Amino acid sequence: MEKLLKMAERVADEAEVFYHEYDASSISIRDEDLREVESTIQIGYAIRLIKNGRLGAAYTKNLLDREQVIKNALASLKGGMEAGYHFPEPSKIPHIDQYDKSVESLTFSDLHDACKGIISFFKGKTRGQIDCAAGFVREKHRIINTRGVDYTHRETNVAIIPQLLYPNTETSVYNYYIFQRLKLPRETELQQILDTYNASLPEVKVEPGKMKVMFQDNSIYVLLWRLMTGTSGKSVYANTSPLIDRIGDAVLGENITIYNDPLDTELLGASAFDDEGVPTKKVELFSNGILKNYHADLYYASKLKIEPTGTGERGAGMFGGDPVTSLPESSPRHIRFAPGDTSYDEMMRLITHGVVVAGALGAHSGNIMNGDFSIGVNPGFVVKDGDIVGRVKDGMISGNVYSLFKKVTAIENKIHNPDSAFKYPCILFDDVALATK
Amino acid sequence: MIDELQKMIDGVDADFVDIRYEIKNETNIHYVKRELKEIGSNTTDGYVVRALKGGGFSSTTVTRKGDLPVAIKRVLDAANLMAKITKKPVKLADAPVIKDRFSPGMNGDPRDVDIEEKINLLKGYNELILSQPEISATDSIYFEVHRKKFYLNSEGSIISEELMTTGIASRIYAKSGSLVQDVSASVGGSQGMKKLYDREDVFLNKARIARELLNATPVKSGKYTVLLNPLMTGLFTHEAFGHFSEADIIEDNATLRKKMTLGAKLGSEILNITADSTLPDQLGFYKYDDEGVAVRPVNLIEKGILSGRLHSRRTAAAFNEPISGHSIAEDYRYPPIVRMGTIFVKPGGSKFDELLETVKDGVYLLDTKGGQTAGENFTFAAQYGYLIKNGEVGPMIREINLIGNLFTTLANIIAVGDDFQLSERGGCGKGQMNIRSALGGPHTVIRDAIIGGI
Repeated sequence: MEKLLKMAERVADEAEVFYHEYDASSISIRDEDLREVESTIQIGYAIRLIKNGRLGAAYTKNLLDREQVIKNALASLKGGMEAGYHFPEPSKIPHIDQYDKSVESLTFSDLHDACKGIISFFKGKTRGQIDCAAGFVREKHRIINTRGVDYTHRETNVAIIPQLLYPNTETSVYNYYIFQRLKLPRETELQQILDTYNASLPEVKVEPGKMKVMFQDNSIYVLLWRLMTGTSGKSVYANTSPLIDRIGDAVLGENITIYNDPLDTELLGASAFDDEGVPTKKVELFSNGILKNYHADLYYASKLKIEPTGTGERGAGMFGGDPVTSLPESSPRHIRFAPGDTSYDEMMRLITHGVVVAGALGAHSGNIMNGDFSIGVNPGFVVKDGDIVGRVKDGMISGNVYSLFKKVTAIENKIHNPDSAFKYPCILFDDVALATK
Repeated sequence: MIDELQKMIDGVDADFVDIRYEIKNETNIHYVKRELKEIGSNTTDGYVVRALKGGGFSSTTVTRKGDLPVAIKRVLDAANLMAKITKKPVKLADAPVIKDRFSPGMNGDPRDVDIEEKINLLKGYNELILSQPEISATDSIYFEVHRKKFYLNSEGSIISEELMTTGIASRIYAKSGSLVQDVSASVGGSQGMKKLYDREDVFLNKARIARELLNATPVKSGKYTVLLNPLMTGLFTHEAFGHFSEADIIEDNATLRKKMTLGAKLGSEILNITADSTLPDQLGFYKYDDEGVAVRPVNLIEKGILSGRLHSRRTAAAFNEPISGHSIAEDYRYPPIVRMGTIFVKPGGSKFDELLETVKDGVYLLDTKGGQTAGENFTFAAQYGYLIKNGEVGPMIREINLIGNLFTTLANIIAVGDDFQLSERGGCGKGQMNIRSALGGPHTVIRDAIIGGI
């Protein structure tokens, strides 16, 4: 990396080298049988140069020919991409190490043993197909630049995903357990999956109309995607966001507070710097419904004349991407949703007739910029008088996040981590449209 | 290269081993409005090793040649573990040993075209869109992906194949007050530069649609008879049915597999669906899949009856059905999985006016805006649409997302048009991205479709 940086420095005013190393193994058990065992080791280098205010970039997986990488970056520079910023200077950042050495010695057999225990728990207690996937990751990235930044981050994670499948479908009741090292879900958690599955197994006819709808923590991303698109510095600068000139306005309900906090080490994915070498920090996006900040990488922060928010990530976007081959883009990956004051059970009791969204189909479709959504509930649990009585057959809910977040009935008093780096509560909304056959 | 790869797999203690080495070159140019956000041409490479031993089957991918010994150890460890545990040992269906080198013909090889010309081409379309009234922004890209693949297996197959995918795509935003509407326009394919030139009409048309959407009415949620244009027919086919013709999806799902038995009646007599990546001059074209099997056309539904399935060698053996050449990887970072390639509904006999008469009252939905499937359920979205009243196309509607069920919706196709169109840009994300997933068909009419609205 250092050699590459030195070579880049000779031909540019400023330069940055990004390195990524990813070593992952996974297994998949389907219908209680081991069906897939896979592994990958991916390495890569990406550079960015600034010369005369212009930006050039290049990447490679195999650093066999450094000259060629520099040539590619210089060719890119000729395109005339405006930089508009300098690479960051070094800062005193907290040391965050989420690497657990025990993951180095994990084997495929360890993953299989973990899944086997879970399958034994479910076996004989359900009519559903029992699947379980598991995997471990060792990941490292480092960023250095000619202004002196040299930051390294390492992390490990081990994920276990038990699933109970409904008949004739790939739809399931599942949970995603991810920790820094191998850690099995508790029996009470597995029992909850089982109870939910068994209660929701019957397909129930629901009349279309407006009703109470609860988004479970694992479906909140549908709504967050839209809010993150609207608050993106890119959308604001490009004049596509509906939130332009709305800083300080109440655009969501007063009980809604959302912020990005990469320094929260309680969950995985915490990092003291982003993929541009900008120190991360807690950034409030909405506080009690009021729009507080846009999020921006170096480029759009310079365009909007705001501070970069430490959210410049490679492999950004809804579906992620290769961190080496893609350029940084602002993508808040550590979103926290402030909890409310109602327990899950109390929230369920508030639903006399409604639906719990426990998974979504088509979250990426529709007019995301405008905040609109129209998703298949997959599954959607039918709730009558506070109890799950089955699941919706072919149901679709729709709405607009900006009006929906003004109709919040209750927010759970507990936050969950449905993915490695997010913390969401379950949220109950009023008057949401459900279409069914 | 071939000799080097041969040496790497020689002596590996397995019943079967294969290796794929790929060099991938990508050229990308990206404008956000009038600002250049990305430009560059870069090369990456890597290896995929798979091994079958005693009924255990595994894969490892690496980018560094020096990691290949680790990769081979991992695939053998994993295969041995699986062999010990699995109740259904993996077998690979027989496949002919092939020695071939294939480069598809191109109409304008992009590697012979200067980057300046590509910039100007993209800039031209981008500027054309931005000059239209009420267009607030664009996100426009030129992309060119060249994969050079070398494949060898322990049975003696040695294949090299090149694939070139090119495209220009633009997301177009129109804005009025706080209302934003967006559509996308794309041109391209696997034939090089030809389809990228002289396509102003495509981008102008979509700029007009984006503008008109500002005055369109959000569709009311409910049950409709829908007329799908060819691209929507293709997306519907891809999401509603295509993924279930991919044998790896249903291989280990006992209930779905039972329902998807060949001979099952899934649609009406007028419905015929085919996967054919051998069709020349279209996005989804290739000769060999990523395990060295020549692709062949497969009739998936004939007169409403499930008649064929798409396979890897593994699934062909598991289903005791013929190999089809549909085991495809995104690139060197992934082992291959079963992919539908080019899927379409075969044209029927109805003229457009007859289709409108069949609908009578309903909606006309055009151009795709993403879809997803999970077992029997699927969703898919349209960029725009129109109400149909008394068999006539009426006012424009927006925010159109549909949900359906494989086992009921295919049976609800009540008319098939006599026209035909295939998509020019792909992007199916079944675990990996397939930028060459082509789809299409004629106009079709489906009754009782559920639209979510907003």
